[in-house]
Amino acid sequence: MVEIDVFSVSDITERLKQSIEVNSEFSDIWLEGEISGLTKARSGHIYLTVKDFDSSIKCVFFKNDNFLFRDRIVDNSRVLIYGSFTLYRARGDLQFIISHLESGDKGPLWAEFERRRERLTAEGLFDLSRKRPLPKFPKRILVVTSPTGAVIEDIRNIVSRRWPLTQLIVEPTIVQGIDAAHSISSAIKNVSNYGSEQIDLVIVARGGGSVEDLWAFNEEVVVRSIYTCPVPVISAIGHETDFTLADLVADQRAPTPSGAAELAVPDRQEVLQQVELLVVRHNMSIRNLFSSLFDRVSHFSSRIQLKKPASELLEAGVQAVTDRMSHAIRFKLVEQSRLIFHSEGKLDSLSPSATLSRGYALVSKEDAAIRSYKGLVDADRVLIHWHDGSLKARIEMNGGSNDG
Amino acid sequence: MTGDQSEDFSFENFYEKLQEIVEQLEHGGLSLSESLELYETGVHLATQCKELLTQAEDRIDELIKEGS
Repeated sequence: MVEIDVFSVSDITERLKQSIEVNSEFSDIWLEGEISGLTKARSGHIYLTVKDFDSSIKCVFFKNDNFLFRDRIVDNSRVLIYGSFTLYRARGDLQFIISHLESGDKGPLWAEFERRRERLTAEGLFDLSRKRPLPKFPKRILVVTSPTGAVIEDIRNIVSRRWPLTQLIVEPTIVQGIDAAHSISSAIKNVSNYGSEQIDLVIVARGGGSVEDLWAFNEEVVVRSIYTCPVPVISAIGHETDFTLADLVADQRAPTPSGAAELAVPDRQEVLQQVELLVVRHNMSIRNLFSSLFDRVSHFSSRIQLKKPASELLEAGVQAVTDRMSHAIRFKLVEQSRLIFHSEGKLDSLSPSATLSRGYALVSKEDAAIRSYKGLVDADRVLIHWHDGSLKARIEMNGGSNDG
Repeated sequence: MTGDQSEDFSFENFYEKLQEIVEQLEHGGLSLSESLELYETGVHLATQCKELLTQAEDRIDELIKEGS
């Protein structure tokens, strides 16, 4: 008896379907043709045929993929479609499943983008004059993005490395598909629920994708919620080459989500350097003040030495100044500068207390620093200051030595 | 997320005040005692700024440890 292979219709249909679907020549390809037999079903799916002069292929454009194109597909238009072949088993029909469509010129999405951009520009939503500066040291950042995936991880890593004093709050959103625009918009509006003084910056982010994937960020509801957001917004949608209306309305646009994190927070090393610079200026300013006062006082002192008899009033005046200064120097400046210079090893060379700790001593009389031996006479009572304390002493002149 | 601590950290506040004080001192025209008072405040502000940054550094170290 001769063995014959007999297939059931279902079996062979299934085998055909499989062999078409696994064949990469028929998957993820572009087709060019003209639309005919367009049917927009109640279910939301769209059925059509693409044809050229002697062939035609039946296509289906499912609801979840077609929502951006639904109103713009028309019969007899020339299109470029992207998708994969399959076999529709119930009819044995070969079918092309469309996932993306572009019309012959620049595509319906592009045209729609331009229309919206013009309208919203005219309304003033993209005016540069209303861009707000970003906070220098944000305390709380609301991140509007998908709660899973690389985007939030990148932002979290960069922020915690650069400026861990910032708290990140994630507003999870759907970032593509039919519900995305509404989800993103209400996430941005949520900023008010934390109280406007709490959140000081919003990042709206999404990783790379096709024009359709990013389309939600061109929807008016998203653009307007960024426009009305009470705190500054950084947008980071897709890659550097992708531009959405959300990017145009945002206070600042970042090329990527990582870039947004870098814009959002300062780098703590740089800030530390800035603080150190301020400390140097701070110490210099008080030192300058003191040295100019010193100079003025020693100028007066030398004049007093010369005209001693006639200068009692002046002397009293100078004494008052020197008293105040020395008091200040002894009880504040030396202590304070020791404090700060201790915490700031690099700056030690500038510090008067550092000079003392290198073994030098300071002599004062009646609370005024003595800068020259000429300021002293026999039996004067003086104070000698070292870095670790002071001692009273009395001058004993033996023969008027004046060795430098 | 990472703690309510950030409420107490007001680095911005410390930093901006320190900046103001330095500018005032550099500008001059203040009495000696005013200058000294400002200077003293400035020293505290600088210390606090640095403390916050050090704490931040410590937290990064902790995060890195946790992560590894």
